[in-house]
Amino acid sequence: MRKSSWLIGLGSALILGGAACLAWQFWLQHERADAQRHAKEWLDRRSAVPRPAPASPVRRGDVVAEIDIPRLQVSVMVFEGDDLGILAKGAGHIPGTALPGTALPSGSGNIGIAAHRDTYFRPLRSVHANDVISLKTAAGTSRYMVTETKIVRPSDIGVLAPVPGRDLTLVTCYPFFYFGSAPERFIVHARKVG
Amino acid sequence: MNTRLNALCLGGILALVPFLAQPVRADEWNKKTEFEFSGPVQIPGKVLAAGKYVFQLEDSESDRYIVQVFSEDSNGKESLVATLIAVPEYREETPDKPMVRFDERPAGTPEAIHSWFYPGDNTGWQFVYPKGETLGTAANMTPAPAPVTAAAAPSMPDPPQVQDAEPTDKEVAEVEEEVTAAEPAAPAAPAAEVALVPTPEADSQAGADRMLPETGGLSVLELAIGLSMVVGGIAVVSASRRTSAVLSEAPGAKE
Repeated sequence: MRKSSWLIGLGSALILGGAACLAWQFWLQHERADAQRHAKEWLDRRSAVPRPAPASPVRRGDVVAEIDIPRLQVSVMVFEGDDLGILAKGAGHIPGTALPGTALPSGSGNIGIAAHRDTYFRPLRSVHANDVISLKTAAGTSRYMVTETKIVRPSDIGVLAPVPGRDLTLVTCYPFFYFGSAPERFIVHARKVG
Repeated sequence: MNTRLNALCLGGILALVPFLAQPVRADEWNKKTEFEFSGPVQIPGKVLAAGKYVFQLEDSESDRYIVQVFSEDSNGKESLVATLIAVPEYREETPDKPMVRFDERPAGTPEAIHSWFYPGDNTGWQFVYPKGETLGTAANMTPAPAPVTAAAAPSMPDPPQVQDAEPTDKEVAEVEEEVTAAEPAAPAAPAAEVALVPTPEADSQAGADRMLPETGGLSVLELAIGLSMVVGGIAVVSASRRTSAVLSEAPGAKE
């Protein structure tokens, strides 16, 4: 009888712990959806009113763009920054790379965007050459075409360098199915087509 | 008669109240704003020595982006220092006090004024610098317009302290220092945007301590753990109940 009550206690603890874990995940999901919705509304409002391109430096957490990959049904808001807090609520613009919405000629700037491989960028595992990526900012929408994908080490930041034909680079962790900190990065290069 | 006169006077006073309480401010039109810099600062083509300056728009209805900078001497007399062409800069957050934003400049050169905002306006005026313009403290220095206290002449490159004297509410101006704009601005593109474009050289220099962002979330793992715990817990509880039921139904089990 004593063993039975001990087991019931253990089972109840597991249920409570599991429920707390799930509740935490649902809360994070809600926060993410909320951040995405607010960011989208904000960007739509700004896009509706013609304004000069933002001239001031963006700050961490600012909404910089919305990225769409129609074939993969990816649509996610991009915030400034690439730390865990930013990537928890959407995609992040990698500081130090070209800013979406700037009128830079092809080859003179490479926009770097990162997102989690287990949320927004998971569909990137099915990306292939010639897929169209659109980047909407307050200044307008730009279209890019995927030219290349590759797997690199996390230290290979040369993939973010602006070289001709490389105007947008997406970064996510690789392998796509991996518990913990993934050892490699999956890179998608795209060039501007319009 | 007296009653009528009193009513007339009262009406007149009441009619004047709005004007007395809120004097017409020319500042709203020309956005006249006074700043006091404690150290030299740079504007396009000039370095302003520490002192008081007035920023205002040229009196033009057609072009609202011509900024005049006046120096103010100790007697309050203003003299024109520069007339600058600015471009609009939008700011999401409405400033409630005059605000100046600075660009960073190399060590030993004055901070450069990137833009200024009038209180209540989301759109400010961004100064356009010729590409590569970095003026030294001696070159193109505007003579100090007002006596400067010892504390108001710091060694560079500390960002200058700014105090506004206009509008009349005497609030202290908010100073925002642009930490990301490390390179001079090109006329066509805002400073920060140019600075945000890395060069391969910069990449290789930073390669030792920079990494691609870590994008491996734990949400799937946490979900799996949570689900496993709930399922496991339910299994344990039901197994324990089944065991108890079996034991209680067993022959010889005590009530």
